Amino acid sequence: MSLAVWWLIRSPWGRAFVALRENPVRALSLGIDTRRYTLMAFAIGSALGGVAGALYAPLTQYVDPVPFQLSLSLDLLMMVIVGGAGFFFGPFLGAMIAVLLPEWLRFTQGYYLMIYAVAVIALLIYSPTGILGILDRFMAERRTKAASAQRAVAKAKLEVTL
Amino acid sequence: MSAVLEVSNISKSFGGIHAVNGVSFDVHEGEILGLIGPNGCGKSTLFNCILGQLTPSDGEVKVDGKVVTGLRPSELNKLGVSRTFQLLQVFPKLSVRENLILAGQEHQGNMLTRLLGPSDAGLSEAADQMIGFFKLDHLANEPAGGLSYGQQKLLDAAMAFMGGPRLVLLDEPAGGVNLTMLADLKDRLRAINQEKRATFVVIEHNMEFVMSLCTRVMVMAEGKVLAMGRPDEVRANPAVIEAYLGH
Ligand SMILES: Nc1ncnc2c1ncn2[C@@H]1O[C@H](COP(=O)(O)OP(=O)(O)OP(=O)(O)O)[C@@H](O)[C@H]1O
Ligand SMILES: [Mg+2]
Repeated sequence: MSLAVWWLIRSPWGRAFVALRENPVRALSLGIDTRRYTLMAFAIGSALGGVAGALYAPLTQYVDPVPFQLSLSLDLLMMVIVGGAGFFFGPFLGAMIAVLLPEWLRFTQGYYLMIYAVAVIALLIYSPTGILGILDRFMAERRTKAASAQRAVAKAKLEVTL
Repeated sequence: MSAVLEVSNISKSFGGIHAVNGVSFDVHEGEILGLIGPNGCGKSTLFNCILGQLTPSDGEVKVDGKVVTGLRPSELNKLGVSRTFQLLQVFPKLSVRENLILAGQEHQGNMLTRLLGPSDAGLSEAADQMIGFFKLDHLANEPAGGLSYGQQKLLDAAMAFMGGPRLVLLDEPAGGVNLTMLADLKDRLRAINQEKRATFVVIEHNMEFVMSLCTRVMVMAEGKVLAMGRPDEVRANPAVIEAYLGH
């Protein structure tokens, strides 16, 4: 399953999806049929949901409507946002946190949900792209620093030869 | 010489403003047509009407003799018409090479091969050629968002050529590009025009650039065509000097 998604993200389709999210107008001007790709993204998302459902039924051996309330959908959305929307490992990380955090915060007893809420709000203010977004920014900064260091060295060399 | 682009009587108004007001012109195969005029005279709006980004209030556009008014930008691009925007529009998170592959991938294969085929859609070589052509070699794997403004401008232009277009509309490609790079850009555009037989329309405020690059120049003022002719003719035209060039 994850392998198939990994393949999809690396394919030209995945590139088109990124383009669609970042700048649909420019994507359209490059021949990317945004309507068709949007439809496909929606269909693939729905299909993944369907597969998850098919896996869930044998797991519990009993299907009732309670797990399908709105609150679950919101929980799932929250997992994606906390981990980092648009990153392959974002939802994995988000799900891990959503499962582990109640355990870690058990000592706070009833305040767990409040702490979780405040933490999520703080996270979104600091980094709207989730935890992996922070990591991504950090890496980009390091790359930029490395590049400017290289430039400085190159410039120094140039000045020496002149 | 056959007309690649025929624009007849295109008009576009926003509320009460007639941004483009009955503009007609032809562009012939292999030509580099310059489009100049004061700020707000309707140049970018004219581009957007030709390319299906905006629906013109009136008029007709033909590419290679075929009516294309009302087509979506992606359909026009598939017909071999590509463009750049006045404001920089690269994909900052994708690398330089990925940007170029993206710009060409819809011209390769079909939806199915783009899903199941190679990740680069068979375009790595073409992308690297373009990277070399625009002298961006050392930046190929950098995210485009980390490049300098001028470098991003070059990438933006390079992206317009990845699909092997017949007709390219460039909106201020030289804006913010420094003098040495400007000479380079002019060379590149000329080379693509000659080697690939691509036809260009170029909006640009840099007179040096326009007059030395273009085979013909069209001047707009207040939504209308004020003059059209060879660069030297246009430069000497009293009405053009009055409205735009000054002194
Ligand atoms: N989407 C829009 N809505 C309302 N008015 C618009 C819109 N786009 C352009 N205009 C108006 O249309 C006129 C022409 O604008 P346009 O961008 O085509 O000018 P331009 O010739 O490209 O100028 P510049 O040289 O500054 O790029 C301007 O008066 C502008 O304010
Ligand atoms: Mg403009």
